Amino acid sequence: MPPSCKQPGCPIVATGKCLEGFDPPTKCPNYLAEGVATAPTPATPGQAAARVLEGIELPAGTAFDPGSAYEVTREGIARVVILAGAERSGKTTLLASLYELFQEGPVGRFSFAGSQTLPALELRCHEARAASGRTVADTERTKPAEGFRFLHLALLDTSAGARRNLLLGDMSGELYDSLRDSHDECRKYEFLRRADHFVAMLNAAKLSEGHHAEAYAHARGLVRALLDADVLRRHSHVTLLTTKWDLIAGPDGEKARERVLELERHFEETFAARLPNLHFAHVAARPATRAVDFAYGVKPLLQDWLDTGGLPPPPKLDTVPSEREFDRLVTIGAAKPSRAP
Amino acid sequence: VRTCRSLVLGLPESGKTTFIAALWHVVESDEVPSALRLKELTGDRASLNKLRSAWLRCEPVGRTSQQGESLVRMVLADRATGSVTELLLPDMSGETFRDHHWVNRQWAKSFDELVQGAEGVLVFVHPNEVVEPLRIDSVNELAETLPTGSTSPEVAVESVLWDAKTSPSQVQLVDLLQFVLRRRPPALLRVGLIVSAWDLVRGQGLTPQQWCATRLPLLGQFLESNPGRLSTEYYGISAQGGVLPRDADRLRDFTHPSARIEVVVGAEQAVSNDITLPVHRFARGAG
Repeated sequence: MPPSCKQPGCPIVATGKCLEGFDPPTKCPNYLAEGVATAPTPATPGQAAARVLEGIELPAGTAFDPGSAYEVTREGIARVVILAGAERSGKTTLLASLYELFQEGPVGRFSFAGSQTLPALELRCHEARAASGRTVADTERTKPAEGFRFLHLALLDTSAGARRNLLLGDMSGELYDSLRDSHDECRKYEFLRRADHFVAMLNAAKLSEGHHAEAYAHARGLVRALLDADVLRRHSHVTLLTTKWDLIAGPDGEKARERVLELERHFEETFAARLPNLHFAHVAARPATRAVDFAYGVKPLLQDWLDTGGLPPPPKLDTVPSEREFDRLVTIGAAKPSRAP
Repeated sequence: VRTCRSLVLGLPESGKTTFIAALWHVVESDEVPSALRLKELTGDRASLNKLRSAWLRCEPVGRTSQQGESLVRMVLADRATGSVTELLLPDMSGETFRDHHWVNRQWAKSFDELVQGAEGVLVFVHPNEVVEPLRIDSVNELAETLPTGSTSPEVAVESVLWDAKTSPSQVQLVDLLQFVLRRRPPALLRVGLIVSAWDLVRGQGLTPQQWCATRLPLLGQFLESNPGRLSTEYYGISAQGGVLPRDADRLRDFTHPSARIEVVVGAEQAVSNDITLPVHRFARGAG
């Protein structure tokens, strides 16, 4: 029996490549080595056949690709957030830290009501957990082959008594680069129009190392590229999010913090006319220093994502509508600029 | 005779089998005024009696192996109304829930049929078996608060690849419940969250629901954040009545072994011996 995978649709048999982007594929938790059956090994071959034949497949719980993410929205109101940042800018860490907050209790007025991607979230938390055997937390980087992947959280807004589905899109650093570099590449990702919040990430580590100009140019360049490709539109909510804030939160970071404010002002001047719904926020999802608490800034960010945004009634598409069901995402909400925290 | 199917869900060593052993003794012996009592003896009771014997000797009842899984049947009468119910309880191994359902993401067709027809699900959690989502930063912070010399010298530990099997208990239980919801018609599912070995945590002064919200916050939120789909009652149950083998002599001294059981329901913290209460709720169809 050749190597295979527990996850339906994985191309490993045909191409040798892992759907989740693990390289080598043997690192993927769904990987089944040569000669390993998809079901646990029972006592006799006869039992093996019976177990496989009579088994009911349950949802894999892996991250969604854009084409299948829409399934979630059938349950109720969905909010789609796209995180875009260079490699190591903290996209996955932000998602993982938000999930970790719910492991400890409700976050503000939002209570955990479920997730269709629990194993995927667990996988992303692993290197920051004691169970990993590590003494310094880390996050495994999003693999190039993963492109866009969505993680899901169902939340109960306890004050409104309403259930909200949150789809958090995480893109690989390589995809981030290619979107910035190519108009055609931007237009390929038409589903980005369905994002309620587009988050361009600015890595404070780069600011503190003196690489602010390049980091900001990349974030600004991506937003510009998506605007010009008509992927981001006037109704889009766009957040310039400075990550790893702990690195510049102390007394030594005053200059870097002033620089962030200056870059935010420039971002606003550059885009306010085309994007009235601009937001600015700072997070330290998993601080490396004690300057701020764990998941600093994540709670207000979540609130912002869920309280603002939402698309207006579907515009007339000037291109052939995508066949992807993802386009059927339903969202609501009122637009309101914000600056937090 | 009405049939009531109740799922019995829990990770390894969460107290499922001990509960079944004690339940069988209570309904069969009629030693305490339980809400349900045995109406008649039916079928092969060898495995149930074997479990009960270990429980009566105040020995650990033992874990259900994947080969030893069975469907327990009891014909019970409601003491107050006289209505008769055939109770079906699948006694399944915790490894089956963890390894087949959560890790391998599949379950047997026969179990799927039970899921679709179940009146409710009993979810078991043992206070000493909870795997928590320990973050490295929390561990390091805690280590710094310890006096110098109280920690072992640092030993290089090899990093470990992610294994779904080691995921936090609350995550696995949430997903198992999500599977149950997904495979059933969209109707309200009754859940009995049973904190087993309640005697271990009774001194904390928490209700079973508060204990769950404190030790298993993700599960606690999930149970309370799906009001249209889940209706949960919380129980603290000490089916053995104490810690074995430490308390075995004291427990064996009870004239009526049913009296050593402790059951706490809801916020009242009133203690009874009525271990039938969780299944009685399902049998009478109460919300």
